[in-house]
Amino acid sequence: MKLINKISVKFFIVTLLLFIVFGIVTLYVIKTEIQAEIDEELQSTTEEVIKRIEIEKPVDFKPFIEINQLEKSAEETSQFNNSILPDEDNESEIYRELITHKKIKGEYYEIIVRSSSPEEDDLYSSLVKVFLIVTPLLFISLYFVNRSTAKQELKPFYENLDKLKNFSLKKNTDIEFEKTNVAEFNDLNNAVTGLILRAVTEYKLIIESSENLSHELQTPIAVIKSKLELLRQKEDLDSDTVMLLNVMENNINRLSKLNKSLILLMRLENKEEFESGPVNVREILEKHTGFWEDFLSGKGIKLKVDTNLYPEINANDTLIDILISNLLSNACKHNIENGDINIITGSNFIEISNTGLKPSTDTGKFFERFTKSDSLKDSLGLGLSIVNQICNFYGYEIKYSFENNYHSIRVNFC
Amino acid sequence: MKLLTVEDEKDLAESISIYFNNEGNICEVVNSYEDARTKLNIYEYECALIDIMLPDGNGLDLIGEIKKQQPNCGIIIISAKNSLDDRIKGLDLGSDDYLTKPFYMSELNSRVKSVLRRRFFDGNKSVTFGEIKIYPEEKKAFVNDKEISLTKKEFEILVYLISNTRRVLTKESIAEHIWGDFADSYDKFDFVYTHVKNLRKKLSDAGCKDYIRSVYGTGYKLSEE
Repeated sequence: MKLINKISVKFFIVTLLLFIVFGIVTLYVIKTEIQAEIDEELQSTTEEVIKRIEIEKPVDFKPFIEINQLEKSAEETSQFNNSILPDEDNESEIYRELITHKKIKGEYYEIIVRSSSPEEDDLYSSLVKVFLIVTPLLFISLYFVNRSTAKQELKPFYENLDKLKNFSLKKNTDIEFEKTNVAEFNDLNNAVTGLILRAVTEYKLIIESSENLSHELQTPIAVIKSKLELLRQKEDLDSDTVMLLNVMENNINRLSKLNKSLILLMRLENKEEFESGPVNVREILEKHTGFWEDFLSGKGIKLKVDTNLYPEINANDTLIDILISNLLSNACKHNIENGDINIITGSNFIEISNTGLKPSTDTGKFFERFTKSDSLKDSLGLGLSIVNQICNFYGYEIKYSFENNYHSIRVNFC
Repeated sequence: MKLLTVEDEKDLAESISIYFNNEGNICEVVNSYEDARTKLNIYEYECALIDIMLPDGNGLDLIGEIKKQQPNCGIIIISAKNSLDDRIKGLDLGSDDYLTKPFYMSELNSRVKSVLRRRFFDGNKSVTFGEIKIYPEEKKAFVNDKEISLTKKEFEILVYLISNTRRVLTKESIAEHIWGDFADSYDKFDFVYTHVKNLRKKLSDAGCKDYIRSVYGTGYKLSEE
């Protein structure tokens, strides 16, 4: 539920309760007022009637004025009463009456003066009518106030929310929040701005230090690799030693590749500058298809290259080389025996599709780090993640699809 | 040949000097920018191997220095920075090649030889081993002066073997030489095996002695014995 609606509902309920209390109080006050007024009137009428009796011109106007001569003496009293009498239509009506016992010129009289008092039902129904008119009005006006508040006052809030949703530390952009005249929003904006600033600083620090760490790692790896190679040159190595050396070399190479890939990913994420220039996609493509020739013929995979037009792009040629190399290696590795690979290029895209098994893992995860199919233990699982990062870096659009047993990845260089 | 290695990591510098000195070369090692400048002022070198990140300076600045003082000296940058622009910067400044750490000594050796061939013999220098004669720049190979037809990869393997004669070359290093280090095909050893097998066959068909020895569990070695 939206905050503004929550507040409105509470406000509405409280208002409703207040209305009811207000109605009851009003009813009570009006009733008392009316009764007091009536009583006053009854009293003055009684006095008038007494005067008339004194000058022997009595009035008798039933049921409003009733004069009865009493047989025996009585105490002089006057008493207000409510009584119910039938009217002409034989419907009972409530009357307020003042019964006065008075001795006038030696005679005892009972004077009853009546006034029809307004019925409570009428009062109630009037109040309910008011209530029924005002409540929807209140509701409607609340709705419109909410809508316009949401539109105007909350507009900067929603705009800022959108900015926050799109914010990513990787994009490295500062957020400029919309200014509002709502104190809470400004407080929030200030707090979030501070938070982002700290996060960005710390993120940069982490990236930089991991990049430095990775670079530092390359040196000991290089030393170990060079010593292993020198060790290989020794005469008369027995087969056990050779096996140990193989395992070591294999793993040191793996470590080095992993490290290199991570450095590249970090540099891309950190949006570091790369020298760029026109890239010869054709040359790169031919080089890499040449690399994979052996593999393809070994597995009976047919490579079809449909390239009349080559993309003309301005980028770092090593990055594009890595991009194409990883895409192609992905298409080769995840292929099946006697499968196909189709490469299509256009003036602004490259699409590589290959036969392969139905993806077992979530295809959305293909571009995440360390996602690899179980069958390929040698692969680092970084290839497509690097491809994705390179595309992000240059703002290329990358699309994966699986149709008719063909996996295809298309990169639009836009 | 006379080499200068400018590398602040002493263990690595030592490996390089051992590898080159074993071949009868002179490989001198300095660990800092200033030492490198001093050496370059006194001695002449045919090739310099330069690390970019030195404790007291940037190896890239040494390139200009060498270009000025010893224009004939070949330059190969060896850097831990897999930096895609340092490579271009280095090559722009006039270095002949760029190698990223970690690397195989045999790869470095092969690069040095290639640089020297290009620099000192206008790229037309042939390399001979027994009956085999190759022209690396023209990508031609001869056995007993008769040209043999090799595929690109077979030729590259042959050049790599000849550049590193009497050295044990692992299949991994041969694979990396041909496919580069970003191509991590899991079947690459089989392909190395196939190419070497075909190369051996083509050489022996042309009447060449079988100089390529398989080293158990490791790889290959080109040797007369």
